[in-house]
Amino acid sequence: MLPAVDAVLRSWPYDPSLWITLAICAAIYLRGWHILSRRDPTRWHAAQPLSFLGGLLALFLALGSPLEPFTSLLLQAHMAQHLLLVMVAPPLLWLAAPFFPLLRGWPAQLRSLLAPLLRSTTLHRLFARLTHPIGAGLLFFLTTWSWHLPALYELALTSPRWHYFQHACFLVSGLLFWYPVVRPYPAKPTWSKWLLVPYLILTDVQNTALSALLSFSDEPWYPHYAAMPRLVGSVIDDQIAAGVLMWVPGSIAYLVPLFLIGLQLLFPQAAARPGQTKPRRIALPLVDSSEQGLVRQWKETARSPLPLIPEPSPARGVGRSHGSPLPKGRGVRGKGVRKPRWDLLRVPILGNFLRWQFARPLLQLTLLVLAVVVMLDGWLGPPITPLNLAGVLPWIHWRGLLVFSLFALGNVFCYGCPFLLPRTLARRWLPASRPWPRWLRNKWPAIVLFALFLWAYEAFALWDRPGATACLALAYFLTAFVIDGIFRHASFCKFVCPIGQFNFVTSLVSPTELAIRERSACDSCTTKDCIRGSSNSPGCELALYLPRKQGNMDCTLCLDCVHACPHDNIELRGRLPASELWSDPQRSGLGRFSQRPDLAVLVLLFVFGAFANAGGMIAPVVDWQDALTDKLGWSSPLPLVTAFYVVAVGLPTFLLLFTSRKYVFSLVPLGTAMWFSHYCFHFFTSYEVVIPALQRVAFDLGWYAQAPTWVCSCCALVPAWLIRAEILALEFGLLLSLYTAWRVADRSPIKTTPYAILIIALFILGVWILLQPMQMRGTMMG
Amino acid sequence: MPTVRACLALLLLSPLLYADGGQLRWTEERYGLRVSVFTSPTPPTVGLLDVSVLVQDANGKVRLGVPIRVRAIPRQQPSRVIEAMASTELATNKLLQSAHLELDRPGPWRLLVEVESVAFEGEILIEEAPESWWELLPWLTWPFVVIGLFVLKIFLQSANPRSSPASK
Repeated sequence: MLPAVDAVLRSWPYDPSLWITLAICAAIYLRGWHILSRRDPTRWHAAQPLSFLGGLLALFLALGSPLEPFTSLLLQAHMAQHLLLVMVAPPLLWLAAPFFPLLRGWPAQLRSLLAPLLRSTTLHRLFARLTHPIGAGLLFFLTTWSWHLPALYELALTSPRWHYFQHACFLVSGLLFWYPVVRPYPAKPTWSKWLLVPYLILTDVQNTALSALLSFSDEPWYPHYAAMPRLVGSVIDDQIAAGVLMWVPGSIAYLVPLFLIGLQLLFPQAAARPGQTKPRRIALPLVDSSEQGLVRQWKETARSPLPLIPEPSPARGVGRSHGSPLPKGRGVRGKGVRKPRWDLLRVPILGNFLRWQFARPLLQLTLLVLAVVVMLDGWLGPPITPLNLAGVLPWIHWRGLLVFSLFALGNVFCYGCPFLLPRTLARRWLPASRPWPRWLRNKWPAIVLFALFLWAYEAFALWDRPGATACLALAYFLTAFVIDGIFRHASFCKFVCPIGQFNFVTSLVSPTELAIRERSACDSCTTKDCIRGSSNSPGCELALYLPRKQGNMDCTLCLDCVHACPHDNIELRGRLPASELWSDPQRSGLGRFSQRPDLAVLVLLFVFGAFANAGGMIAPVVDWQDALTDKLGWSSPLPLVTAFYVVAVGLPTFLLLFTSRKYVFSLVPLGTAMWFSHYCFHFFTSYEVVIPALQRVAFDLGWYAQAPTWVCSCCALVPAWLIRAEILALEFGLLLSLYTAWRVADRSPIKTTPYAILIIALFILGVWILLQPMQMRGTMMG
Repeated sequence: MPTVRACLALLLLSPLLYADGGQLRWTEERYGLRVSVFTSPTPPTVGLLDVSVLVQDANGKVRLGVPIRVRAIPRQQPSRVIEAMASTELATNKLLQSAHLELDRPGPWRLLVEVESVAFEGEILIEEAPESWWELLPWLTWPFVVIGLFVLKIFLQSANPRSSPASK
């Protein structure tokens, strides 16, 4: 392959937000389509997801392929990009009939939030007008011609924001243009299909005219491309190629559907396949441009709790409601018929691994080896943070991966906790028979340790002391060993471990939860092995009885209950993050959250600790602390750090605990998001620091002869996407916290308002912190 | 309904539709080398500056893998030099080679691009960095659109009590 061609093919832009967004869209669609296709396979066939994925692929090729970096150098590349956005992606997306699958793919709670908005007749009328051939055609014509005017095109080429707007215009006008042509289900246009013939012919004529003007012009239209270095041919050649690209594939894109529609109109009998039954239509007022019909349908629709889900097939034994052709919502689902949930333990490979008896010991052993290496390097290695594994791995990598796994999966760290492996082995000889003292059966010991840790981390710069980090890890091992060697069950995890408490609170917003599959199996179970244990497993040592367990609090995800259950009745199911906070049920092993002041304090410490921990390392706070220390003539920053934590964490905790204990749990999503954003910042800017640290260890041991690549010890530059991702995480935390407060306030806007103000104020504080220069701790620059 | 979905889709897609493209600073041909220098961001601001260089021969054929050194010198302080070697690893478009320079002050800077011992020189005006929040305004405001829609939803629900959960 020619080197230049090879270089072009390797020019893939790096934009994780593109992949993530497309993956989310695909996941939502596929989930919705999967549910719908099980109910009505004649309507929802396999070609639809293929078409949708094809549409997303077209978007990806337009925006995330080697085409993108060449759009500013070659007009033909830019034209190809626009054609993908206008002529390829929209029809493919519409052919997938995306309305219902995209809606059905969302969790029910989010769908019900949108329902009143989606019933709005004003929106329906507007959409009907925009997708009428006259409206859509005019809009398409105006968009195409105006954006090809040299002044506007140049504007887009010189301003990223206008360029973004140009692409948005093309995509939206393309979607609106192709809607009447494809008429995706449940479109029900009232205008004659014959209207599509002039619609497509006129569009092709304007496309031909524009491309001919471009191709036959002797002058370059766009000065930007005239100034660019020429990669292939002259600027006029490039312009001709762009014009031809617009002309030929463009005409094909308009004439092929015109031909097919013409055939359908002229030979309607031949167009229908023999033996094909017409799928049922659901009378939804999506695109009916007849206003009277639309209002009538809407009134019928509004009587149903959630008129957005196609009706289950009668063959499945679920009948229609009051003779209406409208679909049924969740409220009409028969009792005892439980909706199948997504179960991580049933996922191939990963599920099998998790259910494997030795999966946990294997993970624990791996982490134990890592912990031992970190401790040894902390004591024996150089006391320079970025060169020492104890200065790098726990504070940059472990923390980043911890919050990421909690957000993405669940309490994975407690599952593989290395501190428990020695105690598990030692329990063969130690008694572990005494009950944990009754007066300590709460979170207060862990709260004190958690608060001490937060304070000590800043006051004694633990992150900058590899030896102290190693000692801390050893202390952890010893404490776990002693406590669990004396007291029975998992007393250390439940009542003492501050990392565990951090994980418990964070896992309240995790997307998975251990729960029972079928209630009846538990009702008939006589052995209760999930709590009492069996020969296979000790059962839940944290006193969480699965049939009464609610949510993730205190769950270490050890899966002992799964291994113990003789009925295989426990699943690790998907759920909406934070949904367990929307009500306050009696929870096994915990009681009600609202009646647990220790839990409220733990949550407040967690939330305000997130802001204080991140705030303590931003430039304005550090400068202010330094200036004040100098002014007061103190030799140590210790008193000021202490005062900072008292004011930033202690004071709000005290105030909120005594004013609104019930509502403090609504702050958890925002606090979690703050921890996540903060730790992800350090992880993504400093993950390479581990390379020279590992090389240094290998060099010291004589396994590596070259000098470590010290350049990696300096943190990487902060990529633009990272700050956006951090803010995005914080924004999801904000919305989830606001929604949780609204639910805790029994959906009362008046009761919610004060807490909404507090949450928004904390969000603004969080954004301000994230936008400040932050110390790159653990790196040479830290 | 579809309009709302379209808005949501736009919200989701907003970061994707951004097109890249550094600004062409100058093109110069000497000793059989044609060098084009691009900079990003546009306009260049205090902070990280991406300098991308395209090297072609006199016939326009792209020359890959040529060692390129990039230097930036502030006009007000000629003794100070910030330099870096360009590489294809840092460039998205692999026909180009990029170097990252951390420029810490606004004002005019000399930009020297050295290709095979041939120096190509240009000037670049570095502006003050805009406030971060202003750059991120679209990212910061979308949740408030969602909150507004939610409030509207509550309003519509209260206007039509039959659809509210309490009425069921």
